[in-house]
Amino acid sequence: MKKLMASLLVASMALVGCGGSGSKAKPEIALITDSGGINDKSFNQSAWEAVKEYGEKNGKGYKYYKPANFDTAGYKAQIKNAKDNGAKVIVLPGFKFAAAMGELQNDEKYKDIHFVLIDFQPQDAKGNNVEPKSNVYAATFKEYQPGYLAGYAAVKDGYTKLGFMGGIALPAVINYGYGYLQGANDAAKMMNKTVDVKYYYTGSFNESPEIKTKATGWYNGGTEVIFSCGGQICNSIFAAAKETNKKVIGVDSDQKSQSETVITSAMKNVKKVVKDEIKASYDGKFTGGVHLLEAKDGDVGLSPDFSRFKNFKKADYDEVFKKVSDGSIKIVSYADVDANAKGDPNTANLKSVLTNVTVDYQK
Amino acid sequence: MSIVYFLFNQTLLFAIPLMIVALGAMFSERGGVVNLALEGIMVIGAFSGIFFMNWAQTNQVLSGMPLLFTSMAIAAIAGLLFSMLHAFAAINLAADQTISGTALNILGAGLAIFIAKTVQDGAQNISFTNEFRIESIPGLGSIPVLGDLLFKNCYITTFLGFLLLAFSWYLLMKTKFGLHLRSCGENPQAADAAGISVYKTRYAGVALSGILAGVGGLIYIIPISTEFTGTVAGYGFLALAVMIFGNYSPLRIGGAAFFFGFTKTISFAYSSIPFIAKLSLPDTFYKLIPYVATLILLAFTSKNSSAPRADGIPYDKSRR
Repeated sequence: MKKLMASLLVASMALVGCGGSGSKAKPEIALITDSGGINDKSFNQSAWEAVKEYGEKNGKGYKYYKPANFDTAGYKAQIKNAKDNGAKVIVLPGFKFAAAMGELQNDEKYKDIHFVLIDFQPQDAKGNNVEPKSNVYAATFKEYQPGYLAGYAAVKDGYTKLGFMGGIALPAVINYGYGYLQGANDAAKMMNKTVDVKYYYTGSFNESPEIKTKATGWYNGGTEVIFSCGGQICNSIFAAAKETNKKVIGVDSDQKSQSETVITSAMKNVKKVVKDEIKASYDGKFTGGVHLLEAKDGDVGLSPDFSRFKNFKKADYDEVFKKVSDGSIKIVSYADVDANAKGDPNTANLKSVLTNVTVDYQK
Repeated sequence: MSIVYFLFNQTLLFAIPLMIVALGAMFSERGGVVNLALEGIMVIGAFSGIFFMNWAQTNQVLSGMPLLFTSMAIAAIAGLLFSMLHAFAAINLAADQTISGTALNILGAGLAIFIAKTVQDGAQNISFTNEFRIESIPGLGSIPVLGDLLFKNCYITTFLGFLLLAFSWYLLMKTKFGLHLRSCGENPQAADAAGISVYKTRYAGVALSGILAGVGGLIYIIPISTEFTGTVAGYGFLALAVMIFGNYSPLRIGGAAFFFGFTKTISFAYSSIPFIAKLSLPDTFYKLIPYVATLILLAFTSKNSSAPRADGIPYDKSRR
């Protein structure tokens, strides 16, 4: 019995580090997930859908790998695993791969593999961004654009008490938040009123009773809509919104099917990017480097359904979207403020812009 | 006044699952088996319960309260079975209970994700619809004050929690089984000499902890999320702390859970309490409140702390 238990334990450990594949062909297209998994309704899922669709349509083998440990060593092990299984394109969604990629792109053994990085660029051991090699496509997004659109739409729709809950204060999250504040501000200015925004980083990307209590507290205190910006913290915010009959703005992918409380989502079109780049790789048109994707090319924006707004119409959206994408509206981003601000919305550059918004930053 | 109702409501959100799991831990420890596996059992309980709920909701087999109770029963059974692994290692094999508990925590988290991914074609999260919140209980909800406190915007699990508290107190303090269990935790040799089967009694203690922790895991996840992602965020360990804080006795555990739940609520809902929000201290300060308050209370009360004397020591017949 002792031996049986021991072998069961060993077997369970050996199984943790594996993934799933979609067909019998050699898995040429590989996706390494981060801790979210392929139905996180966010990056991993969008990327996986793209991989799967391309693979099925073109008869290529595809497979995803879930690391056993979510650290650089764990990621590297799975990237190697993918290579050993014959991967030609490897998709890496999320900033956590930055250090692993910084190391591996200098490794001769990987120079024939195309890497598609979503939302980050390779970093050296000290955590500084380094230039991607020619076989590495690093997609980064102007998150402040969809953030701006979300804030703008919410205020235009008549909401005056908003909330922002970010996960961890990382550049991507901060950009969403800064854009949101400025969008709300500009809409408020046009409508000649002032708007209150409660602003908070939860410090995690997972749901918890703490986050739900915080959100319920805000909603009970008058907050009408919260921009939930951090992976699965949305689960707790949805639960709070449902109990109090209030609203949520989703993030990254279209979250309207997850909860009826979602009025709109500030999206990055991860699926399109991944699909385009896999295609480019097979067509021999793959170009490495950092690519900053933006509204102009339809890579970011609000979800296309406007039925859950009361007053904000598609025409209003098209109008502001045009202004955002052609650059006639200047948006202060993470890169424009003091790097030591760590996501503080009351930092000088930003504060001077926010004339009609009162920010309550709960640090 | 509405702020009081809000705070009370949120306190329950933390306190009820913590209390149920801590009561489970109490049964195990009073019988002499340290149960660190609570976290893992909670995960397994929540996983099985939510998995069934997801299945029943997609196929429209059950809904409403019957679904909730069936899911809880399934969570309880899963928790019970899982805890038996710990009981076997700790009681029959006389293994180090800390290690076996830790192993189960790792196994629980991995197993839930592994099964979910195998059955759901690679998908890790299991979604569910929370249809169990009660807007207002007819009749009871219209009682002034008390109605707003307890019978509006509530979960049936809250009352179940109170029932379990009363039941646990009665079982441990007033029945023959309770006396046997306590004696096995204090002096198993004497208990054995008196004709009590130490092994069986300890098994029963661990089984109760498995049932309660399994149910606690499910009750934890239902109100706070829309899907189960394979974690209960350390609440199993918090429950262990609550049990120690509650000095291994049912009523004190109830009190400790509510104290902890209340301070936890304050620390996350301070911005909606006018006079506290006015202090405008940093967020971190509020987050410290539950832990600092618990430390201070422990400093004053720990003198009377009484862990069962044979807690964590495997029973060995040959050692008298």
